[in-house]
Amino acid sequence: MTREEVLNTVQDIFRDIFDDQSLEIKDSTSAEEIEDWDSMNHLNLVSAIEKKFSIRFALGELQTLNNVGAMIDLMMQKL
Amino acid sequence: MRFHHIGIACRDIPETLGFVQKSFDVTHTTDIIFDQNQDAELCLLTLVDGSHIELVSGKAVEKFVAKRQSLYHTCWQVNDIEKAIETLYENGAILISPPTEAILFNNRKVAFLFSDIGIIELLEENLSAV
Repeated sequence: MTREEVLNTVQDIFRDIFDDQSLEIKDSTSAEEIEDWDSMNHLNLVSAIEKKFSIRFALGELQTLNNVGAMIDLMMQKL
Repeated sequence: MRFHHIGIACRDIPETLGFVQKSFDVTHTTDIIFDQNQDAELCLLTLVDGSHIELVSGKAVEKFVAKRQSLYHTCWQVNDIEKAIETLYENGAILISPPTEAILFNNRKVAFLFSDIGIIELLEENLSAV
């Protein structure tokens, strides 16, 4: 899976979680730009990504996922 | 795992406490205490059938309160908290906070996980306590 394909799939997950089909994400997208990206929705995102890609994040890794780019980078290591 | 209580997110514990005490057969109510580890005010009620309701307010639940979502967590007693965390993790749950002492439960350890059934609190078993 290419990085772009991963980003597109993650974007679908974001659109589903935040109930916004027009949502466009990029590497720099962070919780500061998406109003509803709070701690609970962060867990919802992580859980949905883990299920979709059949990967697991470790506890220490969750705190490093500060933006979409960091998330995708870590996912690429696990895919 | 044995069910122990549900955790209810409250804006104001005394206000919610009033409703619960008037509406249910409450046999025991703890003091409202502040748990620094959870950054929350807590109060545990015991009902006549032996079940428990935990009222939670403060920073830990402010997002729930803002969304008017009362159900915060379900709590389950376990013999081995580390093993229970491992099992839940293997089944897809995400560890939110590792085992830490809980003042409301006589310093028995609690841990929190995010799962498909919402937030799960694990409480270290102690048959001599609540």
